[in-house]
Amino acid sequence: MKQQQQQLLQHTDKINDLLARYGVKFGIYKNNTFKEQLFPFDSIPRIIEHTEFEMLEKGLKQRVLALNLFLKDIYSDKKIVRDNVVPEDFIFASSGYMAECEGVLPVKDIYSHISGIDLVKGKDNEWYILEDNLRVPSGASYPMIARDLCRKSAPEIFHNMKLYDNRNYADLLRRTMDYVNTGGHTVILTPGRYNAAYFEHSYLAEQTGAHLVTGSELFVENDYLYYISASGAKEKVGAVYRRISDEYLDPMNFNPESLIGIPHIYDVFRKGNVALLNAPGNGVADDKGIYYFVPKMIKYYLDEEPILKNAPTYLPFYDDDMKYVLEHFDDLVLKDVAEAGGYGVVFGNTMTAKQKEDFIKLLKNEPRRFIAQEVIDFQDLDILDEGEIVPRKADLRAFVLMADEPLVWASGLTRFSRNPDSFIVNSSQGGGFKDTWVLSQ
Amino acid sequence: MKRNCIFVKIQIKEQEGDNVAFLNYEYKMIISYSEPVDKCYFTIKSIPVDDFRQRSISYEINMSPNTSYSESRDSFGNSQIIGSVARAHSKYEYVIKGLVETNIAGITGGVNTAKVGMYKYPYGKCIPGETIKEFAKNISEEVNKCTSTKDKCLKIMGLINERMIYEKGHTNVETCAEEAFAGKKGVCQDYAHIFITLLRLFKIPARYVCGLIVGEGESHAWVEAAIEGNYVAFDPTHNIEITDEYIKFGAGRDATDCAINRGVMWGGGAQTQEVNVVVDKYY
Repeated sequence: MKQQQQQLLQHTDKINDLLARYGVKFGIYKNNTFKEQLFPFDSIPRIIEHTEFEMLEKGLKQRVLALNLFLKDIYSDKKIVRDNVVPEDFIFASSGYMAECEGVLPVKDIYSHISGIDLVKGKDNEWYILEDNLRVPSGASYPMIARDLCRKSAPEIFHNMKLYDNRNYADLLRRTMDYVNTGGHTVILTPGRYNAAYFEHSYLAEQTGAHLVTGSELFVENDYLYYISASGAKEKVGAVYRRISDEYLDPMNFNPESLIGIPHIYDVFRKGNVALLNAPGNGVADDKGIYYFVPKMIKYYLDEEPILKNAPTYLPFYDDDMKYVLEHFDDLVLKDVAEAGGYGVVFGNTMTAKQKEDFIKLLKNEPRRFIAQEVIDFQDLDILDEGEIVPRKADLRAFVLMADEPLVWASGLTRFSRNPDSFIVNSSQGGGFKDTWVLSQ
Repeated sequence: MKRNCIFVKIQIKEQEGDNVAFLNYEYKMIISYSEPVDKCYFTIKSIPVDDFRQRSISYEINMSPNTSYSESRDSFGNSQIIGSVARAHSKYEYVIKGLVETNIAGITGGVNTAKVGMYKYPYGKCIPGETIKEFAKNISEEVNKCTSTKDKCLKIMGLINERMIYEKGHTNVETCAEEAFAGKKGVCQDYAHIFITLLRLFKIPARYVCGLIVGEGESHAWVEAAIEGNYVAFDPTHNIEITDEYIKFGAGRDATDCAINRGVMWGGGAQTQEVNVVVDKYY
């Protein structure tokens, strides 16, 4: 392995040049201006052993099945609330709950077709789930193209390694889209060129053979969705992998100010005449408050023990947990449930006395707004930093697709923090990425 | 309109001796543009749905320019007409005429336990700010003295009326409860938003209702509060429980959920809206 690592290291700069040339970038808004950044690639892969992956695969399938059942329940009978497993505060007061989606059943009852589940591996060698992303998780394209470029620049390495080819993601995605297609074209809907993940949208469209479209190329007529092809013909659309957030998807049903949405697309969906991947309203299942309840969901809906663990989490909403949080404040990380992307995260031991006092006041005032977690000491991965190999914190975003059965992609996006003191690996906060190798034996 | 149908209904009801009313309504909306609109999409929510205190007997819609549309239900249970006009037009209008029976005796308002939670929390235009929170604190003792939930509602409604003055021109459709309450002046939409915001602060689930009433030339707004499994409807603008002279078009968490008219258009320049409402009552 060491030898292969050396070989790959030699190619790091070349691959980063190629990635830049292919436009593998992500955009961020800083001080209201749009900036594109390269997403730095580190060529030392994360390696997951075969048996370890089998365990992850089982656990991820179980989790995503339960989350899909939860979403269906929440937008209909809410049995899990009635049976006092999840308090209704965590549903109705959640910013991710959308009353506009009540009673609307997606095609084949699938809500989260593409789920991005973030995990870390602790120093105890256990994997922990950090968060579920069930809205528009991004990132699969980066390891796909990185693998492709690595194979081209150092083909000999891949001859001898027994590892899964991760370039099959496009096939899995196509299978997922086709499974719910109601008859017609499959399109990938992008907000456009200035979106953070535009590279990914175009790459996935190219790899899956779907049409890449913007909202202005789609329209609704007589309860069906159509798209105008390059030749000007009007063609029916049966599945939309939309990379636009819920609120901007349809100005007639959600945010009326949206200029990138398609008027009435949600009404077409309501009638079962098109599939939307993922279904609107999924935010109710992936906020940090609901995270606490996912192991309980697995027991409730599947009658199984959770295979993968959550990081130990406390809900100040419950009196016992509040007591624990106040007593162990310095050992915990506190997260605002409404925030994402590494924002709204504070470590108890980094606060000044005054900050702590203010925070505790806020916590007591709005207990539902926060969760507290034990700080997991997760394993470092080696990265190449200015010619030197150094350890850095890293996580793994696993992709689980829901077609006729749940499919776990035998790869994933490994993100790392370039800052040696930081636990936060989000790309919007300046991190880089690695390929994830899953050994096939 | 099936006139003879009305007659038959009246006969039956008189025999039963129930206190019912029949309301004949006409809602007309005309939107004129200074320049032609290339294309527009519309969602119209002005068709009464059967519920605990009304039954829609018949209705008809006329739209110009003539176009196709479909009827469905939204997630709040409201009837919605959706469609588009895919050709240039400078004027868009529709008329909905119908007949509704109100105050149907013996039917109580089934509160859907799986959905009522959406009416319990601050949302949209019904998020309390400092003024409303302060007011709620000041009246809490007085309100909590009331023994029944319904009395609490009536008390809060009365207290709002002591503070607010009904006056047009100070608020618009975008105004939220907090702004209107701080300004102390507003119209029915503001009264409803304020009342809902306060009811929810007092842990009483409440929803916004939009519709028509006898003797007013435009649409009206009021509130339904969920009390022990039933909805009870109050009109905070008039400081009363509603009567048989109210036709409900739709309900939601705030005015936006049940807006009578929602549209997206391309082009059009300046637009003017004209609404005509006629409601006649029969016994």
